[in-house]
Amino acid sequence: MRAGAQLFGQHLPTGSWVHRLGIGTKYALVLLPSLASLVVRQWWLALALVALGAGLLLASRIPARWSLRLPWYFVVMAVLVSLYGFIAVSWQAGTTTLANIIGALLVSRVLTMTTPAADLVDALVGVARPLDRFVPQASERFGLAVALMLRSIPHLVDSFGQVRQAARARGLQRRVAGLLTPVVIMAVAHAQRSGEALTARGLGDPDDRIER
Amino acid sequence: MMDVALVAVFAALIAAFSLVPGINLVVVPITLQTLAVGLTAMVIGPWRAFAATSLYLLVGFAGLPVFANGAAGIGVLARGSAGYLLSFPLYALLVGLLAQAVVRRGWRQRWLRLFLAGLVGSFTLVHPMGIAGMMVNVNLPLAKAFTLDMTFWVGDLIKTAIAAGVAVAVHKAFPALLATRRVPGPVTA
Repeated sequence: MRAGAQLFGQHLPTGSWVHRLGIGTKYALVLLPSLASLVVRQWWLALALVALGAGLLLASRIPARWSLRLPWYFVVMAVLVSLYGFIAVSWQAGTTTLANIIGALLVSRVLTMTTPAADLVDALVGVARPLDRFVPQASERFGLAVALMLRSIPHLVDSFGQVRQAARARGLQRRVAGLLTPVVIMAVAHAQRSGEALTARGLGDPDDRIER
Repeated sequence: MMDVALVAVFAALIAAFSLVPGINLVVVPITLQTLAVGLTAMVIGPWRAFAATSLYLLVGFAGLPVFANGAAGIGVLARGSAGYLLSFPLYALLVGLLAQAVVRRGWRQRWLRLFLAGLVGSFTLVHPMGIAGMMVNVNLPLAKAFTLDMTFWVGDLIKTAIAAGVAVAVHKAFPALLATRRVPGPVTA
């Protein structure tokens, strides 16, 4: 289950003050500077974003070989896309692109590496709570959707792997549509089973409850 | 609850297909991700597909690593691929509407019509927004961004063709998915 491990394996607890920041503060630290830098697009602001991300990651006391590591394909992509700015526009434009891409990655990491995935999900669902006033049980249904989605990812990656193995055993691995159809049919069936299970437990369907 | 479950599972399908290894081209990683978005639009209908793609983006922006190569957070908005990502919900809505019409009217040549519906969505929304994203984030002038975008056209045609083929098979297996009226469930439970 690589996907499952990937999904929940980014949090590295060390107990630093960055880890202990409230989730709202963390989101503010991540979202506001990233968006500001993306919108304003100034080289000095983009460099400040890199400094903020790297600074917080170092302060988190997560070993820098993990927290500041950049995957090779990411570096290649970042350099290639900013090359045009450096060559054809100006060094400021190139720097802005490069620093924005790297800075936004580092700052996002502050969130994912210092916060358990469950807390991220809770915060996301919490944001939907004010909607309850307008749509009955909006946040409950949203929370159920997020939970069911995250549970389903490893399940689907698995069923994709199984179908691929079965196809390979029969020498049919070249036909992509033949591989995907059973996966999607399994996905719909999985959704219907899950929907029935939720309904049976009286979760999330206001209309049904009133009728009965 | 069926709606919520379908939305959640198809958001998961997009995430799962984004994580399955793909090919990295210069600016945008090519994965099965866009194929999954096309499938979602053609299979579960406009509003559910809109909700599923939005849910996928929200969960990714919130910091869970569901984007291509396990990326997470709004950092992806700094990349050349930002425009493509943001186009998903609109694409899902438009292609979903067209696909729903194709399935409900019982038109023949379903595959061809779904394929065309997918291409309409791709070329009116995904590619223009992708080009705009590259222009803003990577300083590319329109002509360059357009040329770069063209490198995805062939892959896009192939992926849309495959998605339409899979969608036809799925609608055959679950004819009620896009049925005109929701059948009122029996008052059991």
